Amino acid sequence: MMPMALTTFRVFTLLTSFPGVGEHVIRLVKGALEWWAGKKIAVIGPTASGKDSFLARLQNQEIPSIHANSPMGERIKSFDVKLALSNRQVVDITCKGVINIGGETDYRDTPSGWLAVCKDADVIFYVMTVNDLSGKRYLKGRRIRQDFEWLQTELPHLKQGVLIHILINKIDAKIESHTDCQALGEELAQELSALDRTVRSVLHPYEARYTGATLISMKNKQIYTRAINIVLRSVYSAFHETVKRRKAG
Amino acid sequence: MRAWWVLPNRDQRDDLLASDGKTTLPLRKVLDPRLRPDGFSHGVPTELLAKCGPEGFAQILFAQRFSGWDGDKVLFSVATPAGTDSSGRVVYLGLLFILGPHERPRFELDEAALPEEDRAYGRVLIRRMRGAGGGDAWAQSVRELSELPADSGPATNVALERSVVRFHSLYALGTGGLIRKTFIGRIPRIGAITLAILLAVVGAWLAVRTGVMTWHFS
Repeated sequence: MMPMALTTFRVFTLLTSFPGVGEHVIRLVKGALEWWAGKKIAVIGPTASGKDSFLARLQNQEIPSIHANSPMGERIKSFDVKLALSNRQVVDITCKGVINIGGETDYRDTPSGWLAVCKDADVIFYVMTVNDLSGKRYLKGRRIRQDFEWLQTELPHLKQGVLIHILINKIDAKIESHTDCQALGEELAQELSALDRTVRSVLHPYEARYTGATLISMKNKQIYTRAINIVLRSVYSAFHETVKRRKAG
Repeated sequence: MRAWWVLPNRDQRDDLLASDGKTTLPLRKVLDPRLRPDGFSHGVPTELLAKCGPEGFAQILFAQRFSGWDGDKVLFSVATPAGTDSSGRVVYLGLLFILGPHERPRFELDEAALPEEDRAYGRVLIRRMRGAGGGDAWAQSVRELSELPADSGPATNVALERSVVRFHSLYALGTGGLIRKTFIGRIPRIGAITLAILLAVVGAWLAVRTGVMTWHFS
């Protein structure tokens, strides 16, 4: 068992160097800072996956002390996100008209639910947990898969060119319950690869909108900071690749 | 009138559950998400929890009323915090009513049918709603909401600041607790603007008239 936050972070750093887990930790492509500036984001995902905590982290706040199952769409005051990258550069993202909404399928399927949240977004963050990943809840008929199918159906109604990135939350708990980092890395690499294949096949013909999945912890600030750096780079990198491919084609 | 308990999502299920006292079924079977009115809530909005703080959770009752729903029906709901789920998040127990256009909710559902951990919350909710007032401002605000005219728009017992939908409400939550809005506060925005213009015109007329009178005097 590895209970210390620092140890957990060190293991996370190690994990992200594993092939298939974090090989997408790529250099910051030139232009990413400008690309992210002013982007609108949406956050969706099943109940208790960490959406509220992610919104709190984006606002540079601690995890809310009053933690509640979100029962309806509630507006959050617009806020600017200033994310410090490891190379001391800062990314500015504007979060305007943010709506926080519940993760039950009831809210996904309500017209004023997830669709309203995602409508004007440039980037949709789908938050799930590492237990959803290891429990294979992305397989046919299961909740995560149903959410991907929902996204595939709704993509034509969303902003043209919207990108989707998956955040796999609660990696800290997974790390703390494992003793063998190597085994955990291999297990995660397999599961991430299976998830990746599923997402691409479910989102077809919009698979190019999918920019990958990143392990994260909203609870552990060190892991969050490192992971969000990876996310920003991954999303922009995927966008950049698509543009390059389109130009070449 | 048809009534259901809306059960607390203690196990972080993907679907919310409802119970008519005999059968437990997904809430979506009772209230199709596609027909759900904008702004419908199965629980207490986070902003009310934040304003009251944990020590005030037990007092909170949040109610909504949607008239003209699915034809001429009225959708009425009331919810209260009911402990926490497996991650320590606040969850809610609610009552949902589908009413005729002039019907009022009757709080007759039996809490004995609820799961054991929800029963005490159910008993308190029913007792408060059946009570004749007696200083329970939250219960009073819910009763007043249920008595609104059949043609009134979407309404809540207490005003919300962060709701995506604009609701009419009779009460506001201040630092001293729940307070009934004043007459001016209850005038719709257009009404308030009209009243302000009218007052300005009368004021101007009086000023001119006073001026004229002053001139006569001089």
